[in-house]
Amino acid sequence: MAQEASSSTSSKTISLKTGDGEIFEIEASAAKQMKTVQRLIDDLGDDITIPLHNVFSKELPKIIEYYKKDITGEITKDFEAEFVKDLNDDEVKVLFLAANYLDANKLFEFLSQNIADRLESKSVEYVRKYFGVENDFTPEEESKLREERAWSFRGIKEDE
Amino acid sequence: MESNEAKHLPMEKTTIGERDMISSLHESILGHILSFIPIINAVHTSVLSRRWIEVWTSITNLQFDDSWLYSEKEKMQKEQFVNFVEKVLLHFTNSNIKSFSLCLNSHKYDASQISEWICFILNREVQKLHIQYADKVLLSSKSLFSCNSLVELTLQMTCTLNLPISVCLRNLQKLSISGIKFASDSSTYSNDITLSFPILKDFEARGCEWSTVQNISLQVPLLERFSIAIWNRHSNESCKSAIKVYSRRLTDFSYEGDLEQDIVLCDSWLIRNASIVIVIDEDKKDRIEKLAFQAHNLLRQIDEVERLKLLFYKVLRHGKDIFTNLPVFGRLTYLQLNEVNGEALLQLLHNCPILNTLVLLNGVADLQKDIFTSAMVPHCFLSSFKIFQFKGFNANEQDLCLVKFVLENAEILEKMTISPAFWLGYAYIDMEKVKEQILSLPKSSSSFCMTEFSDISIK
Repeated sequence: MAQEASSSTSSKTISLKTGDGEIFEIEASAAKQMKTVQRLIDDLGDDITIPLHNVFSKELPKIIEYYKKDITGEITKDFEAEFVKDLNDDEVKVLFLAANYLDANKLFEFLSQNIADRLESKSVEYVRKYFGVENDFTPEEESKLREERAWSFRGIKEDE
Repeated sequence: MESNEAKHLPMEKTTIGERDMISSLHESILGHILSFIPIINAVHTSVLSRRWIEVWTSITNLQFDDSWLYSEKEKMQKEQFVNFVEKVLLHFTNSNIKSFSLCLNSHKYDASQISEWICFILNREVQKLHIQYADKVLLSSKSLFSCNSLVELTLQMTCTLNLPISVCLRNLQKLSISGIKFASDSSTYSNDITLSFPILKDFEARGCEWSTVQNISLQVPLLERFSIAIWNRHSNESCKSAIKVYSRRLTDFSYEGDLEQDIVLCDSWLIRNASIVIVIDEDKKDRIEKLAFQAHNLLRQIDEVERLKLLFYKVLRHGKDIFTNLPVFGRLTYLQLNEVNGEALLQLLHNCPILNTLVLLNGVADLQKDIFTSAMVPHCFLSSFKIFQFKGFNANEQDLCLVKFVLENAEILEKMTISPAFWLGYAYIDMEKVKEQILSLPKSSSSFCMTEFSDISIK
C-alpha cells in the first residue's frame, strides 16, 4: 500500500531500522538526502519503519548526525574535521560503505576525500589490507609489473 | 529477513563479509576514492592485485605539478617528471579526461612537448582545464577553440593565439587568462572578430595583449563578472582595437590599465560594482589631454554603479582635467579613492548625490586650503553621507582641513575612522595632540557617535 510522501516534510520524522534491529529517527528532509532511503519511502510509505539491512547501529547515528547538520546548512570544514577526527581508518571505511549503500552523496564525497587523505601516504601493503585485496600476483608477476611501472615508483619511499 | 553474508558481525573483527563488500564494489567507486589521491600516488595501486591494475585509469581528473620535484616525499628529477606525465597520459589515449591541471613553475620545458600534451588533452573531451606555465608555449588556436567540452578554462602562459574571425565555445562558464597575446589571423578582414561564449558567467583577462587589427566583439549574454587588466608596455601603435562587451547581465566590472585601449560596455545598465584602476606611465605626458576624454568615456558607462573603487596611479599631478567632466553617479553609495586633490574630491562628492560611505586610501594631495572654505556643500552631506574612512592620514594641514570640512558640513555623519599613515610612526608628530584637535572640532551632525583612531600600522 504505497502512500504519497507527505508534502510538508519539515517536521516529519522517519523511522529507520538497522540490520541489528535498532530503530533510529531522522527528519524527513534528512532522509531525502539519502536516495536509497527515499526510494524505500516512496515504495513503502513514510509511516512504516524503513529497514536498512546493510547499515548497523554503530554507524547510523554518525550518519544521522552528519545530515542533521546538513539540513541546517551548518556543515563547515571545522565540523567535517571534527567529525572524522576520532575515527580510525576502519571506522571511516564502514561509514563510507554505509554512505554508498544509502546513496548519500554528500557524505560519500566527503568520506572519499577523507579515505584518500588517509591512504595517500600509506604503503601498498597497507592499502591492500585496507581494501581487503588479495595479492593474486605471483612474485615474478609482481616484480615484472613494478618494473614496468618503475616510472611511477621512482623516488618513492618504500613501505614502512 | 535474510542477512547477506556476515554483515551483522561486530566491526572489530575483520569480517569476511566486509571484505567481500569492498572488493565487490564497482570499480568506479574505487576509482572515485583514487581520484582524491594525487595521481602520483594513485598510480601505485596498479600493483595491488590483478583487478587493480587499471582501476586508477578510471580517474577522470588529473593534476600535475612540478613542485613535486622539490617536495620532501617525492624528490623526482625533471626528466622523470616529464616521463611520468607522458606515461600517465598514454593510458588515457582511448578515454576522456574530465579535469586537467598542469602547473609548471619550477623549470623550463621543451615547448613542443608541452604543446603536445595540451593538444592531447584538448582532444579528450576535457571540461576543466588549468594550465600554468611561465615560459613560452605554442598553442594551436584551432585546437583550443574547437574544444567544445570546455566549461572552465584557466590559462596562465606566454603564448600567441591567432584568432580566427569567429570563435565559439558553447559550454564555457568561466574563463581566466593571463599572458596571452591575441593576434588576428587575417589582416585583410575588416569587421569585428567575434568571440562567442553563450553561457559564460565569469571573464578575467590579466596582462593579455589584444593586438588584433580588428575590434573584438565579446558576445557574452549571461556574463556577470568582467575583469580586465591591460598593461601595454611595448605597443606604440596609435590605432588600438576596441574590446566590446555584449552582456545584459553584467553586474561586476573591473578595469586596470592606461585607457589606451577602449573598452565598450554594451547594455551595461545592471553594473552595480566597479573597480577602476588607472595607471599611467609618467613619461607619456602627452597623453594627459586625451586621458580626461578616455576616463570620462569609461566612467559614464558605469554611472549606475552602487559601489565604486576608483584608483589613479601616477596620474594626478598632470591630470587635473579628469575630474571636471565627470558623470553623475546617481546610485553610488560607496566610494573608495586613493590619492585625490581637493578639487577632484569636491567634484566627485558633488556628483554622488546619495553617497553613504567614503573611503580615502591616501589622504589629500595638492590641496589649496581655501578650496574648502569657499566650497559649496555637496548634496550628499545633507542627506545621505554617514561614514567616512580616512586611511593614510598624514596629519598635515591639508588633511586636517578636509576633516574639518566634513565634520562641519556632513549633517548626518555617524562615524569617522582615521588611520594614520605608516610613516607617522617614524615622525616627530604628537599624535595625541592631533587626535585631541580633531575631537574638538565642531560637528554639525547630531547623530554623530564616534571618531575612531586606528593604530599606526604598515598598510
